Amino acid sequence: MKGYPNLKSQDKKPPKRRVVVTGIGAITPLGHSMDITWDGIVNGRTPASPIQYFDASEFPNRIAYQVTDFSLSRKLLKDGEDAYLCECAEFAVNAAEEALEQSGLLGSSRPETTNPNRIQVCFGMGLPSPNIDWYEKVFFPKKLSLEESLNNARILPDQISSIIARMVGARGGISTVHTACASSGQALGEAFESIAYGDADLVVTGGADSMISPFYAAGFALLGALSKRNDDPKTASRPFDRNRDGFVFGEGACVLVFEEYDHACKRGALILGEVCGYGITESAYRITDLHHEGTGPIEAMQMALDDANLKPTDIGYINAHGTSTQLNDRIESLAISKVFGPFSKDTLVSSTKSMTGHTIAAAGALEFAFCLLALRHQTLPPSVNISSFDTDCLITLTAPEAQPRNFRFALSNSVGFGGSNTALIAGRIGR
Amino acid sequence: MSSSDIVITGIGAVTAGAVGRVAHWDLLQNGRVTTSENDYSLKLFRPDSHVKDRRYLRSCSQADGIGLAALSGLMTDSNFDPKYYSPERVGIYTGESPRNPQDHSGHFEALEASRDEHGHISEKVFGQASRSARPVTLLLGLSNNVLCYGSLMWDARGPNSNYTSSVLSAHLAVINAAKRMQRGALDLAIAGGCSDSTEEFRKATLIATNIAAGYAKGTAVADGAAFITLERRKAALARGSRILASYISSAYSCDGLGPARFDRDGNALYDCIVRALSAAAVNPAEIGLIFSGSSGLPDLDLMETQVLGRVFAGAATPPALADTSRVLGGLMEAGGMLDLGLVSEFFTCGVVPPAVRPHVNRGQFSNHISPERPFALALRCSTSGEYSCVIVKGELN
Repeated sequence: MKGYPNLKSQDKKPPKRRVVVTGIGAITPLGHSMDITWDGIVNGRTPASPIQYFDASEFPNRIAYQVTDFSLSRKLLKDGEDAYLCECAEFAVNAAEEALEQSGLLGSSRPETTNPNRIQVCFGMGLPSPNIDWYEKVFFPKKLSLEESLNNARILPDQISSIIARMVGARGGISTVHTACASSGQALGEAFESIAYGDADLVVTGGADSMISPFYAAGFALLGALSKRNDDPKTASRPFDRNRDGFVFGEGACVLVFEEYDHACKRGALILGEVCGYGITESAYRITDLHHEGTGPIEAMQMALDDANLKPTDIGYINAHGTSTQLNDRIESLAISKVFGPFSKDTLVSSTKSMTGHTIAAAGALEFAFCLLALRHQTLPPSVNISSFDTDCLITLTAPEAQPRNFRFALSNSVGFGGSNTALIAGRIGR
Repeated sequence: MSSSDIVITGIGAVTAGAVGRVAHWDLLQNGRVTTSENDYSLKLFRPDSHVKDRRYLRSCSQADGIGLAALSGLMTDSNFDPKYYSPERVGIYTGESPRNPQDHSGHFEALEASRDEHGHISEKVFGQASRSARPVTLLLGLSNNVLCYGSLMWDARGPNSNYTSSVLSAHLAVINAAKRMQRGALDLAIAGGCSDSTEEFRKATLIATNIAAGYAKGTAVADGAAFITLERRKAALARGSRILASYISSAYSCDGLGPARFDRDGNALYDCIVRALSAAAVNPAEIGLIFSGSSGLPDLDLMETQVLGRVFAGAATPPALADTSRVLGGLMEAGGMLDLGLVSEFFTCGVVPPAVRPHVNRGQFSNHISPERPFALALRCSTSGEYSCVIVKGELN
């Protein structure tokens, strides 16, 4: 066989419907709502601190961005459902409540015209995050007690999707996605396509994760992926800084309501922004590393631009995956420079992980929400913790403080262990 | 591109009863004697001799090894030529089970070294002791390893996804891969799933998701992995590939009642089947074979047969019903793939093998599989009220 067959000529891309966002909710280390979280972003807060969930004093990396003073809202939970909730799923319950409320999908404001069969849930969920107690109980005994078995159920990743489906009255189907740090970027992408290509009118999507556990702290430390700036947690997460030395754990949940444009207009929903394009690729290189030329993210960004019918210069802001590891930031910025041009002034870049930490499976959803809010408020998130910009990163960062900017489109990147890369493009409504 | 332009060209499968497509068809025809849950376990399976590149196994869990063994078998069965398709037009869609505690086994030594005089594990001591574990310890516990190593094995750099949606996972992988192909974004998709949950379910005695609903017993959970290749018919024929079946349409739905609850009225399952039939423009009377989504739970199975009764009420002769889980066990995230990949064998055989005939009212279903009704409907049903349906067409060569 010489060369590949020309199969692309067979493609007839079906027409797409417009997809808008009508609700956003978040629980993050910056706050217990999307508004508070956004306020933290605009003000450049970096609430990292020593790990509180376990005794991390002898671990090589001892800091994290943690959700503090959290209490589970039981407003939408049914009796017994909390037995199925791990910690990050609890975050998702509160975030879902906020998103559904903002979207007008709760209580008396719930639109009766929405066909439940046209409502879906697509959620990106992290790995179970066991503590040592759980581990001893679950691994070692031959048989488990009822309580211990329920603990097993708490770590099944699809339970939160099922609960959110019940909250919103979805009968159109549920899917739970896990592709490590790309999980919720992928969930949002699949939710977008489900509506765009006519399979659903409304999809509740998002992601949740918390990996602040002894096993993951030990595991990531062995890979050398975590920052060792234990004595200065607030400046430890410093994407694109020359002296970055690894990521800092974050945790949280972000839930978004995606909706077909006419469907949202008919019911008078507040439209927060538009989902314009999605790209998804596999690096097929190494489980933990990006290809040195950044091929996977390059193709994902180009795919998203093609999907949205946009040129690179249309994108005013990129929320980078930007983990603050040496390798990721250098290669991702190389990929960005190849698509958008080196040190492009049209397309400014930041990584909000300097303010939230790495929320792993929740990162894609949260960072896409930041793109939507940046467009809505016409404000670029700041690049914080940059004491010495790494000029090997061929990008132009946003300013150290939040800045006003007139722009119409933003792009959010996610890159996962395992090689999945996603790019999502947000658009400003009324542009 | 019409749906019937997508064809299934290979199947790779590893279960406790067999390895590979031909062996699995023999197994379904002949059945096997199972006396305990151990008969469904792949705890002792050694993937080394099955996986094409053993380097991948260095940082893999047992579930990953099973999955990679199935993907290696698929490569042979589909006669895959990596030079034929452009890598960015090849996508891998997987369903994988959540990790088991033993997937953190790289930490065991450190954990045991961290016990104090009362036998309790000290986090503080573990923080030090864990530093001597293997660098890849974390990677054993990732739930998307099969997607990752599968993409390396197949040089699949196109769209991809991984579902952790319990028994629907592999169906969702097929459904979403096929949609991508229909939209013109992929030329070859590898779809399926893997699971090694028997150990956990045995320890729990019960199926954990059923506890709140008060069930005393569940399905016989089985370890395994099964993947299929989806290609466009024209390209498959051009490269001389054998066509096992045509993918026609699919749908999924849910009751929306929350975890461990399903609606006995069956309306969501009914809607799911009707949507898949409607998308395919296939009349129920054209369905010759149904693969049951049988969960092993009496109430859910009863609901499923009642729904099938509603869907096929107008058919002059009843379709045949097969339940492959009677031989394979409940393959969880890997479930449903052998139904899709072996559909032509069923049609060629003409009858449902006795080993996979479910115990249902025989008046409602037939054992005879009519070649005049070449479509098969494959179901998956979860105890959390989630349902999927894939319609395929047998290719009688």
